[in-house]
Amino acid sequence: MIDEERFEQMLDRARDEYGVPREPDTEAMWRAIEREAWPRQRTFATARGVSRTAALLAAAATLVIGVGVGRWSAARPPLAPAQPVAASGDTRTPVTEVADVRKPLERTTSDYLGQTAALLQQLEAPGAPKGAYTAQATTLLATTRLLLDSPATSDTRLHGLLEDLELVLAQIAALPTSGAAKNHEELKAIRSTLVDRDVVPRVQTAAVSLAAFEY
Amino acid sequence: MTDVARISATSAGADERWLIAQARQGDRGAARRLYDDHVRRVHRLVYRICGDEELAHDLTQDTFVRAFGQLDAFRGEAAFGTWLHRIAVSVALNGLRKVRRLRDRERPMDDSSELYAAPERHAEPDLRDRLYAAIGALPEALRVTFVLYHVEGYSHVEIGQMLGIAEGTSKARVFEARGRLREALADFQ
Repeated sequence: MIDEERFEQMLDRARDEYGVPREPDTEAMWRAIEREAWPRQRTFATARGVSRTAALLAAAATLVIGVGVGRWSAARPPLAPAQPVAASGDTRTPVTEVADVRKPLERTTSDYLGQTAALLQQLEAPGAPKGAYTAQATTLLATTRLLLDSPATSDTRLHGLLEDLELVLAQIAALPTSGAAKNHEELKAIRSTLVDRDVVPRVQTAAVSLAAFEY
Repeated sequence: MTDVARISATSAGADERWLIAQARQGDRGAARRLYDDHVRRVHRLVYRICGDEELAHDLTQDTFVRAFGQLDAFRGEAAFGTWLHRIAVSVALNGLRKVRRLRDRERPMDDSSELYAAPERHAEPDLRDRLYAAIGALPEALRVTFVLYHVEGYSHVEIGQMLGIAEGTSKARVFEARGRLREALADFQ
């Protein structure tokens, strides 16, 4: 048996020697990063599939913002009659106003999780899915990306969940519209992902906690 | 730390904060400098997680794209490098799972294949090769936690934040990984 001291020495050496990659092509990587991070300067020739994605993202963004703002305005109590400022002398912003700013995004997240949970539960049930699932998954996938990039997902657990959902929804969105046998295999893979990653219970828990927090 | 080193570190930190502020406003040159300062470390970290040069290349790009897209969310509570590495770990793990899943689906019968390539063995493999091969053969959760702790030098608290696990879970995983590695090297005198 290797002695403890030698084992520790090997681990110390691993810090410098284990998994050292070849020198990366940093220029090529930077060019790719520029294209992705600042896409407005992309040329049409290199932006394969971008117009479709951009349209999808724009539609999802409009939906998300619209739903969020709509629900936010609907939930706000009617304005109270104006109070003379000089009478109270207190110019601080009421706490409820600050809290309201976060609510549209939280509600959108909650709605999104609810819709996703419903879709995943349908998939988990026996029987082949219909084509409508792929359309719904595509829409939810775009919303996932928006939420991943939003400040609402600074919570590590929610962020991890969204990344898992991104993977699952991408698989659903890519389901073949014809060919029952292939469809069956793809579904098996998706269901296996759902079980492996414990996705549905996590979505349900997150949706319930967000809903409880909001209402 | 000497005074000169301390002043130098403070100056570097201030410089980085300025670069981040500039990059947030869309200054591509500032973003490039942040990239140049961190790309090798991020690339090495990602490679150590996924063990594949080409994949590490792609995932390093994804890390920076994600980081520049979320720069407004960086509040400076941790060092920029730590924040960036958290993103890198998350991107690498997700990328690794996606690729592994795709490969598993392409080769459903080959359930023993690991994406992580063990280091090349010499005709007479020495202890180091055996150890590195054994690290590469650890299950993903153990391997990643072990690499972050023993190779990258992160604390259990930092690893917990990166992987979304409790500090105690990180400790338990490292303990388990060490046990398995010692077992793999049991026949070495």
